[in-house]
Amino acid sequence: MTDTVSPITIYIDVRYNSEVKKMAITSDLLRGHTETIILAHLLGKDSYGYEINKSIQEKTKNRYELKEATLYSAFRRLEETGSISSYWGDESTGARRRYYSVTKLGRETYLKNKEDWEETKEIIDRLLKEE
Amino acid sequence: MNMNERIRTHVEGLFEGAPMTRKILDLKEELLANLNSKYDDLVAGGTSPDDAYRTVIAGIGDVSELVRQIQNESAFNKSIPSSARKRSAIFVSVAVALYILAPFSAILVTGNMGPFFMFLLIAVATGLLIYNGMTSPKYIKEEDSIVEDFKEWKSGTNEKKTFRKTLSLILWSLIVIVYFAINFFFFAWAYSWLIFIIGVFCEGVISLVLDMKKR
Repeated sequence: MTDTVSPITIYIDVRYNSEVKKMAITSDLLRGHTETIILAHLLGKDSYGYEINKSIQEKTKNRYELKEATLYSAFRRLEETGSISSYWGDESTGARRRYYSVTKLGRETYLKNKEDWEETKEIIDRLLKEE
Repeated sequence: MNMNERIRTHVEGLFEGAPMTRKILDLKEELLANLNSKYDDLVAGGTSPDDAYRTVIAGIGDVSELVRQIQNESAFNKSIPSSARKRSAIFVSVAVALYILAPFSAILVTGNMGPFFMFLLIAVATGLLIYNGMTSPKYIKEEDSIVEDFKEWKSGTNEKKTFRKTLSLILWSLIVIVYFAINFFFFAWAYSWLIFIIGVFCEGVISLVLDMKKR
């Protein structure tokens, strides 16, 4: 089965990459803030992987979407540092969903990261301004 | 084939070779639930099943890094607290030193107090060993897998065994103390050896009682 699947996958990945190539640099910049973006989404209410990613897509009008691997990797890091905690939902139908909720430490981290970003943004704006 | 099945097969393929730990299985379940929701949303939005499948698969990205990250986490948890081991080593060394010193105190301190000091030292040393045996950390479960459950179970039975051993140690130390005490104070050398036979009997009764309690 995997033998018949992988050629399709490779083809798709290549096409996907060429599509998003033009925003590769932006993605790099954004990726550094993955954890803060996740924390921001969890501030309002507990959520799960797909819901967070969908909301990112909607907010950016389909210009940005996290890869699942990137997303879960960030979840694990955040959980390890105690910024978020997770629990399994009790869906009556289908597979169980893993929900994440932000902790007190997570809120503090979010505020600090946001402050850092505001400052960075201001500095870069100043530096990139035409003389 | 059902599309959800196709997604599952693909995900299984991605995790081929990864250890079947609880964390990996959890990750797989989480991933599958989210991928299926995404697929359903795409199809509901008018995307053809094949395109939806391709979009979902392409969105996964490289999971190998993630798998490695999870494995490192469990490797990190594995490290045994060295402070506990150090503490245990100190207890045992002190106890052994006291055992060695015990006969000397009997020789050096004259009069009836000699044997008393000897038994006191033995008692303290035995107490140390028992305390150490009871408080040493047992195996901490690091993964919710069958292997880990087995390790914990085994560690648990070992703990029971250590308990038995310390109990037996206390019993026989007491017997030796009483044996010498009887001899020194009552000079009953001819009959005092019987206490060892009583000791064997006592141990038998204790293990019988413990076995019955377990059931």
